[in-house]
Amino acid sequence: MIIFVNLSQTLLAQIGEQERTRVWDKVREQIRDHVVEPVWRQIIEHVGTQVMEQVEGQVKARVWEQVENQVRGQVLEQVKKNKKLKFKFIEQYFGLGFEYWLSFYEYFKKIGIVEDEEFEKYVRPYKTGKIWSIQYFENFVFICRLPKKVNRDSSNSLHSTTEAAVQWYGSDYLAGKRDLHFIHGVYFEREEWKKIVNNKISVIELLKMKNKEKQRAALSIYSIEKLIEELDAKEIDIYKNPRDGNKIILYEINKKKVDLGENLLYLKYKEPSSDRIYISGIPPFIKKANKAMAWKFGLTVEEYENQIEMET
Amino acid sequence: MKKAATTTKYYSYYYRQEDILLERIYEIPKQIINHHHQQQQQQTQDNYIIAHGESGNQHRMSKHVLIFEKPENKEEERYVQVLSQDTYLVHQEHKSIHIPQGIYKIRREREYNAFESAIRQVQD
Repeated sequence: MIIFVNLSQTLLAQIGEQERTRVWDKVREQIRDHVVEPVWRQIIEHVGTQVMEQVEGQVKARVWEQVENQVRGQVLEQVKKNKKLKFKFIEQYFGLGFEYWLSFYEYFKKIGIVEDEEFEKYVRPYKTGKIWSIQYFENFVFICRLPKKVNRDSSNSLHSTTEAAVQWYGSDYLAGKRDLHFIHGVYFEREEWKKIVNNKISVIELLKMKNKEKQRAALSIYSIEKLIEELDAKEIDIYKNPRDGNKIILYEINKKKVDLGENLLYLKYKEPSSDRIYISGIPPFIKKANKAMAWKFGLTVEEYENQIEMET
Repeated sequence: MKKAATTTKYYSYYYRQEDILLERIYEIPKQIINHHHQQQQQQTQDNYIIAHGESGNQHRMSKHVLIFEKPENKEEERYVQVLSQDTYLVHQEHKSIHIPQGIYKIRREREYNAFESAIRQVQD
């Protein structure tokens, strides 16, 4: 998504420039026909051809400069107000391998069932085989070309602990700056990523991480077990979920270990729609694992335990 | 003769995807319905995004749904009415979950941060 943001900002700037140029050209044309040329004709009538030849360059440039300064501000205002520049999002495709379904269209086209000029326009960029992402808006399409290198984990998520997961083409300066760092599909800023992969992050920093996905990804390297061991966390309750057999464990960490006024309670559980392991802070008054899990979603223990369908 | 006491066990239907839990309910609270009628708001939404993740991922309903929100605090109380049979709760990083037609309360996961002594909504 960061790619999209960076990309769209760049392209937005380009589109803005194109639109400005288009409007400016039109205005320039009108100024020339209705302002500069009439003024110039009056000058010629007054001073004659000889003088005109001498001062042409100087005068014309000054007239242009004055008019340009006055009008430029107005043109930019008009461009900003132009409704065409509002971006109405339609859909987006991101990452590699999204274009496989187009082969069906190709087949139907081959056997003469489908023939559509508009769809051909839609398909054309995909056929280049050089596209990383496409964002469709009502009047614009943002396209980002393939990176130089992409690293993934065994589940095909963007991932690398040794180098950037997504590396872009470009000058040395830009390429390094824009490369993207992921751990098991979760994006990290370069410095944050370096700290995690080099084991420079402390247990407390890990526990304080506000973004759950980032915490989970960082813990996949650090390991929850190591964290539990380092903080000497005690298992105070276990609940075995009868629906999926997964264990939910409530741990307590002594306040002295973390220099706080109260003991810390953490719940370790498996997220059913991704099979990922998470840890989550629990208020100190909850001492049961099932109650803790119910609390997380604002349910009572009865409501939590009487769920008969939790589809994943 | 004394009649034997009978107990009825109520079950609930929940659909969970990461930090989002949809709880099947039978009706939307009247004050929320009234608010929407008064405001005559357009409630139908395509591809309604239930939650945005910081990393750009989204929990999204795949089809047309009706949305009802608590006027003062949308995040606090929201309901979604699924209109189409083939509606899914989708997310880029998780398995899609089929959500049958019906009314659901949207619940968000929370956690306790002992370092700030505060309860907050989970971010992903």
